[in-house]
Amino acid sequence: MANAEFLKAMFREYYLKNDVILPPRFTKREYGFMFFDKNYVLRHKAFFSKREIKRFLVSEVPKHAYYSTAYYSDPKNKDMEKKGWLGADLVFDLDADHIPETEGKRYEEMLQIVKREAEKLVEDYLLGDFGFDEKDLQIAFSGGRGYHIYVRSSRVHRLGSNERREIVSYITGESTDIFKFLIRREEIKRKRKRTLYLLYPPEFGGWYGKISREIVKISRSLLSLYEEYGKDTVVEEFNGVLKNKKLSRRIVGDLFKKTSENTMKIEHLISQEQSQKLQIFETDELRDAFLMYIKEKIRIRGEADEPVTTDIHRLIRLIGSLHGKTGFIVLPLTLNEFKNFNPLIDAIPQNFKEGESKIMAEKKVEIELNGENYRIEGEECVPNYVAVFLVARGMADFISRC
Amino acid sequence: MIDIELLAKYPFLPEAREYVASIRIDELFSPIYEDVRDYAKNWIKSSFENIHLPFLRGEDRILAFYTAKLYLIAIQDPIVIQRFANHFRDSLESMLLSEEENIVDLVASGLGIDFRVAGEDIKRMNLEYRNYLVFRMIHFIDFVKSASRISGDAFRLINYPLKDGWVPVNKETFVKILREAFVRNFTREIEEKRGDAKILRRYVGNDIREILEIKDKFISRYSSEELGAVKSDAFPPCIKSILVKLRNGVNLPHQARFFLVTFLHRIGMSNEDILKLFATAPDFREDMTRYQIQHITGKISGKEYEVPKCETLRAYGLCVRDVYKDKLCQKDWMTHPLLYYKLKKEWLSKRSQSSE
Ligand code: SF4
Repeated sequence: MANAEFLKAMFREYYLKNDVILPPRFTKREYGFMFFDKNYVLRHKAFFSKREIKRFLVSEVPKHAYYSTAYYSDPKNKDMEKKGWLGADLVFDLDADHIPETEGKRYEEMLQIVKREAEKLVEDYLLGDFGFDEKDLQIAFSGGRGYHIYVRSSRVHRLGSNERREIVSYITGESTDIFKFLIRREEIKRKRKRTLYLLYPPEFGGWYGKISREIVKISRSLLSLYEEYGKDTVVEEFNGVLKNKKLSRRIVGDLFKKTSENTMKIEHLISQEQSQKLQIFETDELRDAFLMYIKEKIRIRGEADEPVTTDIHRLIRLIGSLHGKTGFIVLPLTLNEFKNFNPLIDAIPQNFKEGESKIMAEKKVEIELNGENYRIEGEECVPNYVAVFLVARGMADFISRC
Repeated sequence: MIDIELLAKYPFLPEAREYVASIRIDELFSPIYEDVRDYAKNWIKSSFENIHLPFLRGEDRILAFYTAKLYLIAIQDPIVIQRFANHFRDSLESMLLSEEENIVDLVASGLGIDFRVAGEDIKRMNLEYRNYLVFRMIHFIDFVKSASRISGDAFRLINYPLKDGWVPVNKETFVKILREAFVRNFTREIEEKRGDAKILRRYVGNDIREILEIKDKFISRYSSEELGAVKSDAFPPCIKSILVKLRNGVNLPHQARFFLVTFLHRIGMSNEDILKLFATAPDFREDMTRYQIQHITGKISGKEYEVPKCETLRAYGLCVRDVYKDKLCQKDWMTHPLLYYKLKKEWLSKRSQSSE
């Protein structure tokens, strides 16, 4: 109980001093809340003024606050059919849970991986292939383990689920065979038939050119990983995606083997300006596994089994509210802010940085927050943001203020 | 000024409005326009019989199209609306395929499609590498709006060399996109004018009855009230929602049809009974549908397809548990619609026993 009261007090202070950021047409949205001291989910709320929302947040102090990506003619109606769907933002919800490489990683590293995924989505897909304008995009740190990316162009509002699904299939490459984006050639060499795959020109649109461009880019970063940390790290990198240690080892063995001209095969993948480069692999199996890896690196993961984008009645975290399991702000970010964003520093509310509280951690915890390392065991006075974070995550109990 | 014969071919274009703007409703329903009204009525009816009426020329066709639209606004029956729209769509497609480029462009603009002419570099590259002649570049949002209603690889966004929002398509695809855009605009307009239905009905009462009779006859040829031994009360919400859509003449995506057929087959419904359910689909054709059902249920292929599980259905957007707030569906262990059906059926029969 003390825990909930502590968090509630901290959250209340935050809501008193800060305003949440309301979405466009905020009176037409449905809001939903979860609380520290009640078990139910409050849904189908509507607000008619900014003050009304503020009043609600300060008096009820929700643990989690959400709003609908859709807007409705009657947002408080409980009957979905009668709510009167008018349109919805196009939203991508990227979460560490759905990205295999984050498995077993520390929170900080996990966030780093999701961030790269989000960057890819924004740069390569939304601004690149889809040609959206930077001003149509809104990025938000989810407060937890991911990012929300909104497209708020009038063009997308009326898209239905099926239409959104086309967009999702495009960015996730789901159930799509990567060989479809390569040029297939049958060749007969020494009386044996072989299938060759050639690359499309890099300037070609869609997945076709993307594969050519990404092979160069990804190979380059594999090479620098190799030079900096050695072979094993590269094997780990492949294994994180392919989940097959033996195969990963063989790929790395092949890629970093010196050829007759005393260069490594991977250098061919980087430098050669030609469509033939997939022929360098020792076997078709290695080539195909490498392509699998490339595909995973190109496509957007993180959304896999939760169809946030296609669900046009979805609730999503209110920007500017606090995440009840971390105490972080669901922070809006411009593209530039996003690039330099470090959630473990930037998403900490100002008022959490003032004052200290005594907490008790049963098990030893190590955490990096606000640029400092904390190692806590037993009872200790820590800055409030550390207290909030650990209490909210259930890793420590609140004892008293210091 | 657009030639009137051209507008007669494409009477939905905004420019055609001039020809009807000056006619008052009561004039249109006076004896002077009787032939136009007859044609309009038969036009709608013909969409159930899959026949094409002789082509009217000039102003008459513009007026007949307008009148047909008024009938549909008055009727507000989704099956009739879809049926007519699809019927018109098919002739629209074949006309457009044989048109000059500038006419196709004109129709595209009239339908509100965002497109541009492709640069030489894109044309050359597509021809060289993907072996198709680029006709126009279409904005991907307009592309998916139409393409999501059409099955086949040529309509999946991921298969295109999309760049800066533009999808290079060949003429056939472009025309198909236009054709679907027509259906979308047309049905939306009729729905939006729902408010006018009451006034219109005063003028068109008898004609409407005739049209609805044709529709009922068409449907009753196939449908049966009974769903046989299956217990429709026990259907999971995803199946129910597909059935409602079907009954309302909504064109179902392929996966929805597939799911419905596998499900009904598995719970013991006969293929003939399944067929009847599809009679209200806007593109219903008995032979085609029968073939598809037999294929899915293994009569033809020998391969009986499995009923997809909840997870798959969710990925296809067919799961509606969040919309309907169904208690059973909210359970963690609810993983398969057949499981839902089995449990609900048991529960229902227990309940009816105990209330006896
Ligand atoms: S949870 Fe399963 S049974 Fe329920 S609606 Fe979704 S798909 Fe159907």
